[in-house]
Amino acid sequence: MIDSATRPDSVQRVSATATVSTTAAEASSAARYNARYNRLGMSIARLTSFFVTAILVSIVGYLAVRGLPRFSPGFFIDSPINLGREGGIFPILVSTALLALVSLVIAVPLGIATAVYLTEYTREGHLTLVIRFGAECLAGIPSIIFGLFGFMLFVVSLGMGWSIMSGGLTLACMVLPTIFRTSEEAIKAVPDGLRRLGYSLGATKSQVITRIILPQAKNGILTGIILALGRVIGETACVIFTTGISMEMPKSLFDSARSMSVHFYLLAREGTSIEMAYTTAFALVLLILLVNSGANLLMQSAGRR
Amino acid sequence: MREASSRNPASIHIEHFGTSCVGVPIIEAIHLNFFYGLFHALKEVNLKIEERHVTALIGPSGCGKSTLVRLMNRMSDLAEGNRATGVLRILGRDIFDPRFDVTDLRRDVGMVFQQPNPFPFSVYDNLVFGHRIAGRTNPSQLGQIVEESLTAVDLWDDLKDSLHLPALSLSADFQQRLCIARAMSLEPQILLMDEPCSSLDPVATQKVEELILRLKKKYTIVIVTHSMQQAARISDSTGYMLLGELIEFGDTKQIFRNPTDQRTEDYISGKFG
Repeated sequence: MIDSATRPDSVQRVSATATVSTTAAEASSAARYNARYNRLGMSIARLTSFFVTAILVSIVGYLAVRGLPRFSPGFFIDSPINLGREGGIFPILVSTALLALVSLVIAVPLGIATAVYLTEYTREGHLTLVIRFGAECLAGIPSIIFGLFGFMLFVVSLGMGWSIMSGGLTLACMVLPTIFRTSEEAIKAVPDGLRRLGYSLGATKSQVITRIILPQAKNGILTGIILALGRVIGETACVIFTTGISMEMPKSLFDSARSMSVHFYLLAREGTSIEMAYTTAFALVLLILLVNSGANLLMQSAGRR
Repeated sequence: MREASSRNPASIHIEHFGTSCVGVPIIEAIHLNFFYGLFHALKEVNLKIEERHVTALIGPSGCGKSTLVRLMNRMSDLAEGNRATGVLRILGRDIFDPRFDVTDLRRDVGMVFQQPNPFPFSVYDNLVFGHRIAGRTNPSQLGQIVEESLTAVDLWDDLKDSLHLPALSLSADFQQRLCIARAMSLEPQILLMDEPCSSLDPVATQKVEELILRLKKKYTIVIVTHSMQQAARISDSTGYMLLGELIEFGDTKQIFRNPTDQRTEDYISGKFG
């Protein structure tokens, strides 16, 4: 092939010999070429995966360095003192958990039910397209818009005030598309043969859904729920607008409260206590890591079964 | 059905239709047509299948034999736009009657699919699935059902200590026999088999065929098969289908030795197909 490049006048002859000699030499040079690119690709892949891990490690590491000095059991079980400069975050932890609970209790059944409806009860058509497109758009809306929406609807119009209920409902609207889409994909992935088999054994449609499809799709659905949980715990803008910033221990779901991320935001934004802000942030990140690894364990054990 | 056959009011029908059928027709199709949307998949099918007989349906791919079998437990309902006309009477009931309960039908008419398809559950859970959804949960009763159905397919000795293994970890042969056991555990009267051996090797096929011959004592079996040899080995009656029509239906020996229709002869003698 080098010949044909250096001596264009004899292209004819060279190409003729080249077709004859697509031989071992050429094959091995191709193999060397492939191997070289393979190695290059491998090192790029290794580098990028290293970067991904490095970003996580440096964030957690930085937060640990700044947050660990105030990190103690007391931080988790004491109430904040002096606007959060001293004390702990116990009521804030409880509020965060309640917000997550309320939003998931609303969003999970709705999301799964929507997914079941779209996959099992309707034919693909305009309606399903519109619903799916709507869900995708919903997923793309910035959280502060959800906050504004929740403020207008739940806090003002429905008179729930700044409360865990308003916040939970708003967060539910926000994560609904995540749960719905992941559930839908998981349900679609259940082989059709299993449905037919269920019917052939005398199962009704609802039995096929509850005994075959949902158990089979459980892992995928769970992944969606965990993703949603992570978003809910970490959400700030939406929560400030709808749940308010009260540091008190909530006495009911209709009390104003403060989530961990809002607490962190206010401590840092208003310069109340940068140290406590970092400690809160470190606790928040640990919590999310914990949720994710818990989900991983759960899914692995489900996969083994 | 054993009681029904001794009472036997249906024998009048048989004389009325005047075919070679000597027992009670447990499955009876009269001018049966079936459409997938616009595609006319079954054309004017008439047949009678006797109790405790093995009936084989043969024919080239796409001839409608699987469609016919799937109509018998109304699995064909599952796709939209499908339509049937005519009468298909199973166990004396018209299964296209709008008041007819499909779930009941499917308990009476079991089905074994082409690919072994155990649920991704344990062996035990596979076998009791149909009973659990029917509301039977008594463990000792379920245990007995598991033992009986596995014994019937000759798997009890192999599997009695591994009932809690995932069914998908078994060999293809065991999986298919497990699927047969699962269908039988519901004590259907009819067992439909849609090419049950097509994914099995010859040894496993032989085992399943032996099983079919034993099951015949208790069940009516309709088997779709690509293999004419298989049809000849195990069936009492054979139907030859072509392009949605039931060309010829009758005694297996007669069909293979002395077919009345030229098209059947062409297929059986290997001129095409």
